[in-house]
Amino acid sequence: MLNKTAIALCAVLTVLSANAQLESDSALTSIYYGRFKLEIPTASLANAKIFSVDGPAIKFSDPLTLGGTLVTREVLQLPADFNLALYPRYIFGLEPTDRLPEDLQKQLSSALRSFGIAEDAAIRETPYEEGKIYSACAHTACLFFATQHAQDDHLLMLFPEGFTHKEILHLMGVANAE
Amino acid sequence: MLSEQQKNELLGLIVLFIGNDPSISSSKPYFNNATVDVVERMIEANMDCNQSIKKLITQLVSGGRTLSRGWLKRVLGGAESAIKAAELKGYGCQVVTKSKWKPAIITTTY
Repeated sequence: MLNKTAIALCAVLTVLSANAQLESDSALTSIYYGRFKLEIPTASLANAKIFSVDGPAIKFSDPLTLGGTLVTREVLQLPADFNLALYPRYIFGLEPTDRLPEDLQKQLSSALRSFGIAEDAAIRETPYEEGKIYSACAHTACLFFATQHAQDDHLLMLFPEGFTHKEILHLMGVANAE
Repeated sequence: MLSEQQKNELLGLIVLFIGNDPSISSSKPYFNNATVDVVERMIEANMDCNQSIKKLITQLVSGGRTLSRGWLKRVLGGAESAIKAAELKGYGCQVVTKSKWKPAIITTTY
């Protein structure tokens, strides 16, 4: 009788331990850039280094890093009447700049290169719940922008290294990302 | 492993591109080969940002050296006078340069 009880107790403890492990494996840690949220698998943060630059920057391991910051018109030195939601569209060539003042055209046309993104980068536009995500990925480096329908005062810029496009979209809460 | 001279020159170059920043200057003791690689990418991405930068890069890679991978490590240690000359002509590239490259540089030092 005692043996049976002990075996049953072991089985229960094993199941509880497995469930706890599954829960800890699927736990997410939220990281905020202003009101933009990224959900990082908590397990992936073990041994990561997190530091503050102009926003949270995370070094998961040597090839895997994620930096980002919020930018405003002022930060980007854009005119006060500039539609900030169009900034990613202009620099990724999704929107013509020919109606803008010449100095602004020049600034926007050289921005992508300044970010270190090759001209043949894969440009993608992905709607998500709060707005739109724009990305340019070449080799292991990507540049992401996120906009929010609810506001036009700031943008999120992310600079992931070593991540796939899909992995970053997952962190940003885009389900079924391709 | 970088010498003090190489670290000083690397910081001088970074300042030319993104300006003075305490979080970068405080990282100078920890600059390493990965930092050099990132700064090399930053320079290549922003070579055209102004005339003094263009001139600096031309000076640094003169003498048959080309912008092949690792070029920056090869010029560090003998670039002080070219960097100082460029410093006199002003700093700064696009503001996005700082946004993108500052975290990338600092990350290499941790």
